[in-house]
Amino acid sequence: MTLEQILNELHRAWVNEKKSPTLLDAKPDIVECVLEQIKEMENNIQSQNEFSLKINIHQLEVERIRFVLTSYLRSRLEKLQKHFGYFLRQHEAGITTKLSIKELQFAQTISTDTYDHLDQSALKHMPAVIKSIDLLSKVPPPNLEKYVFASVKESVDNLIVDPETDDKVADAIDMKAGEQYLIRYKLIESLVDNGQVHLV
Amino acid sequence: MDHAEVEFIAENEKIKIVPNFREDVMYLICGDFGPFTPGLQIEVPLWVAKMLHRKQQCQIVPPDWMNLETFQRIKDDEMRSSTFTKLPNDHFFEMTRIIISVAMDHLPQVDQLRIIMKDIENTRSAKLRTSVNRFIKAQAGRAQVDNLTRLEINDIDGFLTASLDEMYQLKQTQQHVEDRAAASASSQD
Repeated sequence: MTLEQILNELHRAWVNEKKSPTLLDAKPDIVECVLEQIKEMENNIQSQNEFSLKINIHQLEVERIRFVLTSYLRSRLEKLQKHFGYFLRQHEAGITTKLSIKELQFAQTISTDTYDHLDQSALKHMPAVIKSIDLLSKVPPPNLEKYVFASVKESVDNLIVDPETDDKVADAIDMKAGEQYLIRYKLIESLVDNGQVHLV
Repeated sequence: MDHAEVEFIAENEKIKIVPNFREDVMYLICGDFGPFTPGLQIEVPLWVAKMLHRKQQCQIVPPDWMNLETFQRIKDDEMRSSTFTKLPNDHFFEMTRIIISVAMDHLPQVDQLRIIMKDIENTRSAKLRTSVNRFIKAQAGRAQVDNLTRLEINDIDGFLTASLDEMYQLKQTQQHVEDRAAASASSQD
């Protein structure tokens, strides 16, 4: 991928992550690559001591890229902190693409610290039966039914928008590239993951 | 996402400038631009154009669609149509605002452009309000919103989606209660 494409990927991931109620697949390659580029550019800038227009523009670009990168990572951490139980359980169940290595460590630390804190302050003094509470399952999961705005990049046929029940057949729609929808996230979750649909 | 972030995204759009300095090709991470020759038009990202203009190193060339006739036509189309028309650029409002603010001195009829843009904005905004009203009254599960710009979507996003989420929760609970009632009624027969 060219650098320009990688930057576009980062921007896309940033907006998707901001608008999505849950964690999307971690993109460690993109993050690492962008971080490397920023460091390299910063070194170049440092080594040139004079202030020229060119340097200023390079500096501004680095600041812009850094902003997107940190906003992206911060958005992920926010969601991870809110729903750490859900994501840890998801990881244990075999879905390992959502968390980067450091994010997994972070989630595990939160989990242990939260449990220790609750234990120290309250659980310790309670009857033993309460101690068997499974903490991970009590943390509220993200709201996957959240309404989001989505833009279709690749046409999708037969998207189920109303599952089949005893009374009726399933209702499905076709979404063409270029269209935009206001729709519940759950219905397009897999499409966002594979890039057919972007969040706006 | 706040307004500034939407504008930030718009600043990645390419725009033509006329530099008044000489410089070799700039190898930015997002692409190569240049070389810069005084008097020769060249394309750069909007954020570069803004910075150069602030340092009085260039003149910004408004895009082809930024003129009185096109704006007037868009406004007429928008008032005539009951749906949203497709604007000439995904970042129509952001770009217009930025370019008007930096190119005030050499853009003809700036004030009129600004007024027409405001009219277009207001018309679309009113249409959006009525659409949302209709959508909620119809209790529809989804809506198609082609031709809405990112800025407009972002403006109603927080409030609208939060309200829809609440309504969905209430509907689910109501459904749940009805199902349970039906189940217990049938089990008694």
